[in-house]
Amino acid sequence: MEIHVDQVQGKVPVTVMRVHGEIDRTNYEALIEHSQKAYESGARNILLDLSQVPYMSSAGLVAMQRIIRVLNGEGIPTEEDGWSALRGLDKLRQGEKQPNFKLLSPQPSVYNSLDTVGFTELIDVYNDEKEAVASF
Amino acid sequence: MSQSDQAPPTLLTISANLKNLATIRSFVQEQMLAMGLEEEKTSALVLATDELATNIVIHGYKSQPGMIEIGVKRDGDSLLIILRDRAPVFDPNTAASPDTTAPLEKRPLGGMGVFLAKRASDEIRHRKRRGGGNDVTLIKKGLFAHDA
Repeated sequence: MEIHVDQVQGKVPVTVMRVHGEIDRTNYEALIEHSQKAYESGARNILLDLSQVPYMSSAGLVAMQRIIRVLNGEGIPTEEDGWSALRGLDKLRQGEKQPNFKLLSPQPSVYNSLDTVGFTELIDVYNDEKEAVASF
Repeated sequence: MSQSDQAPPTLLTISANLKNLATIRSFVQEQMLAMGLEEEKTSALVLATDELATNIVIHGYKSQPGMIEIGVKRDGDSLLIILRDRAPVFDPNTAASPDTTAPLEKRPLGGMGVFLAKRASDEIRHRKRRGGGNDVTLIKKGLFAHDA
């Protein structure tokens, strides 16, 4: 898996993280690390481009929740926090979508996983990059 | 029913290591495609296998050395994906399902992989192996109904 990070200017600056390759338990932490570095460099809005991701396991879903936590300034959970003890994201309330983290062009099988666990109710998904950038 | 409907499965025996997940996915995918299944029908089952295998590595063997045996088999109009290990007994059906309607802040993430595996299949059958370990069979019905 490779990650390329672009800065795009919409109404606000948007960091576009373009992922190439499969996301599974072996590499999902790289996504979190890239988002953490971007956040430390000032990024506050992230668009995750999944158009070149042919496969994503639940590890990718975990990465997304952790990225949102990073964007909310809550830091990355330590290993002691455990895989199943993830908390945070308390700026979200039921029925509200995440304002500073959005998804671009997931492939059908990836979208299916997102939808199955209810993420599509909480995270905006776009198929057009300009529209996505303008939405922040 | 033709003989091929009940042919013994080709087995992949591989060390329980996260680095082998891609090999496991490829194996399962190739077996299903060789049975004539269309690719879009296989993706959720590849995912389900990955999730169960990941659980075996992390929660079963706790990242200690061990082996996983994987087989893909047709049984009438159903597809069976079998995962065997020698890890402590664990039935994936006992994993708590996440509340997929809850706000993100109230969601623990454990069990999301098993949840995806359950949703991809009609049944996940578990039995203890003689001598220790688990025999988990993921069953998807009706996949071959079109040529029954």
